[in-house]
Amino acid sequence: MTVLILAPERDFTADRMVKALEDRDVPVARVDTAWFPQRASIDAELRDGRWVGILSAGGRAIALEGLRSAWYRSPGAFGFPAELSATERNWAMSETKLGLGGVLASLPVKWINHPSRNADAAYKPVQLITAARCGLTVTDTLVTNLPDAVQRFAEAGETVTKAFGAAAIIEDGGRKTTFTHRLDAADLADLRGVEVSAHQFQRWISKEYEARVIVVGDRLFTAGIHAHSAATYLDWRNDYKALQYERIEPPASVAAGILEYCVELGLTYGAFDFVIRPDGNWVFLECNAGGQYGWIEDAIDAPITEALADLLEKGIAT
Amino acid sequence: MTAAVAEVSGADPFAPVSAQFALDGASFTSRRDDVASPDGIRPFGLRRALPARAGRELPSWTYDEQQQKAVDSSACPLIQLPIMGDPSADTTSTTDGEDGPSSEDWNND
Repeated sequence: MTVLILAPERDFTADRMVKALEDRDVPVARVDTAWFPQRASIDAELRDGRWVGILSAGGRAIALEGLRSAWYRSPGAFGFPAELSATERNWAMSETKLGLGGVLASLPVKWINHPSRNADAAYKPVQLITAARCGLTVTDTLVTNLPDAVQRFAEAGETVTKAFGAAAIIEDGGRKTTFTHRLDAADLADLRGVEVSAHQFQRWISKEYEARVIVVGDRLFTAGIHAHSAATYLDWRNDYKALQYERIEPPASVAAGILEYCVELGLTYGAFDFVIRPDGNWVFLECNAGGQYGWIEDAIDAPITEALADLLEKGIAT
Repeated sequence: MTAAVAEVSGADPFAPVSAQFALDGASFTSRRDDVASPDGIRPFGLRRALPARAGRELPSWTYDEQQQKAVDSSACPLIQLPIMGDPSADTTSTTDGEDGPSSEDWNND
């Protein structure tokens, strides 16, 4: 039985997993959905209530009925011939998403994580509500496109704004990032642009340090993240070189809440971010169900890849 | 605010992201040469977007279908190169696993 890894070609964490599974003599097949349809094909038949057939990709013929587990690492969008018009590409994308994506999503294998669970868990407002329901502390949050609402929220306390989703865009010929920003008087005097999309505003949390908790099944690997610059104190993604890590354990109540959160949202894997206040209270920021862990694994010498490989090798059908 | 309403083909504002397998989606193609709109039009959340710092240069690499890993010109997996041992990232441009533009830095995977 084979482990299926769905990942982009440039994914060094996936490279590590391939090696980990090879070291265990576990068959592994790696596929990037971006290869479809030009470098990959699907031949699937519904037979006796399950999909059987072959996914051909990466020089391999992968038997759908021969899979034990699947690791979803945000593979690329399908790559259609450039000759297609935008309308044709859109149609082809939809058909492929529903067809190939549907076959893969229905495979009765252990998913880490199932892409639909990842997608459902991507919504920050859902994350905050779920965390609160699971007993985790969350901070006051405003979702709005109304400048007056921002003024009202900011009058009640120090406020930050940050994106709901990706913190990077492609523009002006390159990549730009937009991380957490603390609102100041100049911002509040000119809130133009709030109205053009939903925006997230949160109460600033006094912090002693931050933590990233990686969940793999029922195992937790936690890194305390200490910022050594003003920029990283605000958002540690600003400069990784100004960070110091230590392996720590979250309080039992926080660990319990994290695991309950994963059960609620159907996640086997999750990357949780917390702020630890000066009084020691842990405040939930977010959970990225597809969050990166490679550099944390190195920094705190935590066997995260091996823990994931354990689950992929075991491959319980769901 | 007065603005023209543009219909986006195939976009359903209430469709779950889970309908977008693969999650990267294909309904929008990034256009590298887009330029920032002036304040007042540009979303507030993008007002402070800054060019990402230069990331560490990746060695020349290709994807090896047999090894199922990224390899250098001598077919050595990049994860076995000494430089991969450094746990720190040299760029701010990682999106930390979010969909959309993927991590630019090759070390902070």
